[in-house]
Amino acid sequence: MNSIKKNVQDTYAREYLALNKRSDGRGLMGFRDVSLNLSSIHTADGSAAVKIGNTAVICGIKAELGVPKSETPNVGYLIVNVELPSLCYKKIRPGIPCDEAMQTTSFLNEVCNNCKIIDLQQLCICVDKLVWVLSCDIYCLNYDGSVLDACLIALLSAIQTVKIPEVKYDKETEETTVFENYNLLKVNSLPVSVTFSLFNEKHILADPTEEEEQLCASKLTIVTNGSLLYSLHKPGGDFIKDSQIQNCVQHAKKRANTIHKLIKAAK
Amino acid sequence: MNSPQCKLGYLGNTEGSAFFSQGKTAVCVSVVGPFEPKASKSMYDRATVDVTFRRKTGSISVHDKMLEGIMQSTCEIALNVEQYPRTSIVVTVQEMQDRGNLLSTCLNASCMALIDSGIAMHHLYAAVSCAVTESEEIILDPDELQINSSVAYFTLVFSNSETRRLLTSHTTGEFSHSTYVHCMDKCFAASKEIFNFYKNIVKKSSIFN
Repeated sequence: MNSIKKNVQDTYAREYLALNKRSDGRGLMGFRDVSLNLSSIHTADGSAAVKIGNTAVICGIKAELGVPKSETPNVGYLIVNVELPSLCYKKIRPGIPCDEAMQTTSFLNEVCNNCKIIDLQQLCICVDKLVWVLSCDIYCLNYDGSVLDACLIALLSAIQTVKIPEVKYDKETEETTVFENYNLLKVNSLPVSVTFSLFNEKHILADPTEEEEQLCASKLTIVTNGSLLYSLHKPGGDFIKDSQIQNCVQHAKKRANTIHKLIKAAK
Repeated sequence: MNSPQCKLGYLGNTEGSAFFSQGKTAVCVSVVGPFEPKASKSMYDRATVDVTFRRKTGSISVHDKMLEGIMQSTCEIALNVEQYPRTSIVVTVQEMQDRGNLLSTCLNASCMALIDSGIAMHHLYAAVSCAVTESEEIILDPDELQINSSVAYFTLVFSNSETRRLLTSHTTGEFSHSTYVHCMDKCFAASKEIFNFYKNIVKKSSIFN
């Protein structure tokens, strides 16, 4: 960002923070409202659209048949991909995926592995021959901070809407027959990610907007299911004190419970 | 902890370089700069810092891109970028052998290379990895096998200050907050050893010993 512009915005933000307020009227640890729409895409096997404030993402899950890896013959695949197209944010150029999209993709895949969001063995149809491949594509429609949080909520709620048909596989003839008998997936854990921005030593902002993310020196992302932590990710930037981590974890757990209630209500 | 090994000034044509190994993992880091970059990359009030991570094969995966991002932001905040306006500093991290703890080795190596380059820094940093076993036992600097069988694996980075200052945290697996705090205590104590190691290496390789 241009330093003069940054300086002006920084002073503006500081004046608000001195009063323990933020420019959009929230308190320091205030979160934006989340809205959730399930099964918004009819052509996908499971989908969800999520808005956190002005941040909007949409997630579609397509189930396809595939061959498992020979080292893990009885598990299916869950592949998450995040796209940050140039339409969602002025700083993203069209063309190859930007670094942030890759980092978000990698982070989400890691979280899915960490907390075993679904038992991948239930995706197995025939050992070593046929499994389900769930490709989860997440598109960001509007980038206004905390995109990762929105992506994970979208992924989590979309997975809960996935219906896969029953498939029979004949080993001898190698024929597959699909029955019109749809089943929901069993979801093991409900991870919710919560992002905090460290403005300076004193001030930590929960659920930052894009403007706040630009002003802040570093970010802290906590993934939790309300009791256990799945990730405490702080990719460099300014340092953080122990008491601040403790405080963030507590707020993250509270937020996770709110999101769980929201997803339950949406179903 | 496995005692690390380091050789400074290992490459001839760079401002700073380090060959760093910890356990069976080894990386090589070069620091070039501050030099004048292309006009499009130059910032009038600070230096731009570029960290590139390379695998043995040359290309990197999506996961490596995330590690690169972590290294980038950890290095950038440690450097005093305001002192070198309109310049660029390039840090290249080359994997030589990966047998676990790659991220912490890369970070420690990059810090050593930056020390060697003589570029002004705000603080030094040290990364420590630890694994938590099923019986809640904490293993510092685990080997590949211990990482694979652990329930949680952390890489934490601290700065060399009196009070505990956490710069970077990267975790995998599931854990409770109290486990995290325990690991942080142990890792912080271990980071002191690494700072001592830095000191000894710099003493050894400087001509004024």
